[in-house]
Amino acid sequence: MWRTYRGLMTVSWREAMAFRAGLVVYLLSTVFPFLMMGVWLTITRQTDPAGLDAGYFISYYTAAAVVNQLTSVWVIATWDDEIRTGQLSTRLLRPRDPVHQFLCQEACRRALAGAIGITALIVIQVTVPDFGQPRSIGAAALAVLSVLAAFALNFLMQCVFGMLAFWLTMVRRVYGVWIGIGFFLSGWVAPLDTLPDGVRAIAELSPFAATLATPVYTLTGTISGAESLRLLGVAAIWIVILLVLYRALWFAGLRRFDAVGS
Amino acid sequence: MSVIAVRELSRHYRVRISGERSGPRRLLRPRLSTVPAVQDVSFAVDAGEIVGFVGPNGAGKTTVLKCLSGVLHPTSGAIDVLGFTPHQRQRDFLKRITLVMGQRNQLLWDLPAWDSFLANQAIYSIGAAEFRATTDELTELLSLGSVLHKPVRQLSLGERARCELAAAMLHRPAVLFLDEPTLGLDFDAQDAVRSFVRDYVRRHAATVLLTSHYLDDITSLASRVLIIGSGRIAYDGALGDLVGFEHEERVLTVQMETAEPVTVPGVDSLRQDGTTVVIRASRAEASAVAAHILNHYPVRDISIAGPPLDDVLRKKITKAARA
Repeated sequence: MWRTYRGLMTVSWREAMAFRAGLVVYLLSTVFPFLMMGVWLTITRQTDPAGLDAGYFISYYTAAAVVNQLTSVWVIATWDDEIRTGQLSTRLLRPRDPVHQFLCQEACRRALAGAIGITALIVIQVTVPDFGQPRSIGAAALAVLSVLAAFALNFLMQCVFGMLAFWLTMVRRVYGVWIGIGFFLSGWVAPLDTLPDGVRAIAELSPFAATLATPVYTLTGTISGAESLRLLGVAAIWIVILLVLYRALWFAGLRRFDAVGS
Repeated sequence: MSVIAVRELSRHYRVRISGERSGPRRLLRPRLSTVPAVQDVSFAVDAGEIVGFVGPNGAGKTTVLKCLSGVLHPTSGAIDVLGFTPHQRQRDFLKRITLVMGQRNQLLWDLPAWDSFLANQAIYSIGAAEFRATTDELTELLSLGSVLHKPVRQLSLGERARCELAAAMLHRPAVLFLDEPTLGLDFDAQDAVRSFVRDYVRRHAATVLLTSHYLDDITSLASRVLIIGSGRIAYDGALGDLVGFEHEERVLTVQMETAEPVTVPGVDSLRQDGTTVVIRASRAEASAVAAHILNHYPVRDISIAGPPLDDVLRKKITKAARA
């Protein structure tokens, strides 16, 4: 398996490099976190939301932009197209399931796009005195782990919804509803620190917090090591649940795959 | 010994019935009808055989090939390929077969074909020495030298088809399912594909099940033919028997100098469109008909050929249905 991944990562990296101009455009077009930063900075001028100041929101949404670059995937579109058009047929002929190649492709795209973002974040953390950052090597390691967990969760959630394409023709819209809920519970619209305790507890138990809030908190050194481990534990449980769900749906879907269009 | 054994294979598709009144109930529980694509198909193929698998569009050829290669689960029946049950998709099984689909693309579009080869090397766990030897062999057989390092999107259709074929053969499969491998290719590219298949089978003693609408693909490669019509096997036997019997008919295509109406005594099947005349006659009559036209009309060109494969197939299928 190691040799398979090494080979696939090599080819996927070349593929990502072939689209590097598109990735740069995507990077520059990331406006949502900065839009939300602007909204919260406006609010801090009038009030003091949950006791948080402007510096908190600048750190939070800058890190959120980087986390987004490192962890956002769009593999649901790949699954949807492959299954609906029957293109999956050619991949089913191979002795490794297509998910391995999709994982390598997404990882290389994120690594390329994220490399620019993470470099910018480190420069900001070093040069801006009050900008949040991990306070130890251990905290930095937890930050790396939380980014990987966020990537894994995004990937697996989209794989699970992608599997629905074996039964449905509009899985991207169904996923849109799911991710709409995620916008609130992940910390995109409002940092979890600003939410009522009950809502925050629900968010932290959902798979969404670990896709944004947890990596942002660990990257900006907002939470303790113990708290990071607790949130990473929740993420790990969701990763296992989603992995089991994805595999179950994959095998069920294959039984009813019609390989249409060819 | 049979490498492929199919017993009473059936595969049905479920199709949503359209044109009904829609509503929340139908949204949640759409009405579906079952369409049988393949019904009770049985046959066996021995090691080293090249079998032509032919039939009209929608007859079920591709469905059978997909069931044989594990892409589709059969609705009922049993399939054994190389001792494996295909739809279980065991790794050792997938490493020993290939399915080449003429209209399907497995190459990475924006990268050179070589990178797709490297991806397949990783997926099939092909060792470096074996990979080098196989790519050298495929490069020679398919004349790929100059095209392997150009982005796939810049290749011609024929070059791409040859690269697709090579990518599908990198793991040296023992069983080849070829579904319209020459579709859309020009004559040279078709020849190259046929030569490749012939050479590959000779070198590796592979077994081939080949579908094609091009009679030349079948006649130049296969010694046995399976005909499928409406999801059922209508003929299973030697190609020579089929073509020899069915090719009693000849088609004369004549290009006239003028659009003058043409008549041939004793021939009813004559169609004229301007200066083009198409006549169907028996093999025994064909020479006399050609001589009559050449003697009585100004002719620019004339050709005599067997009927298209579709006609041969249709006759055979109709005959089998009546039997």
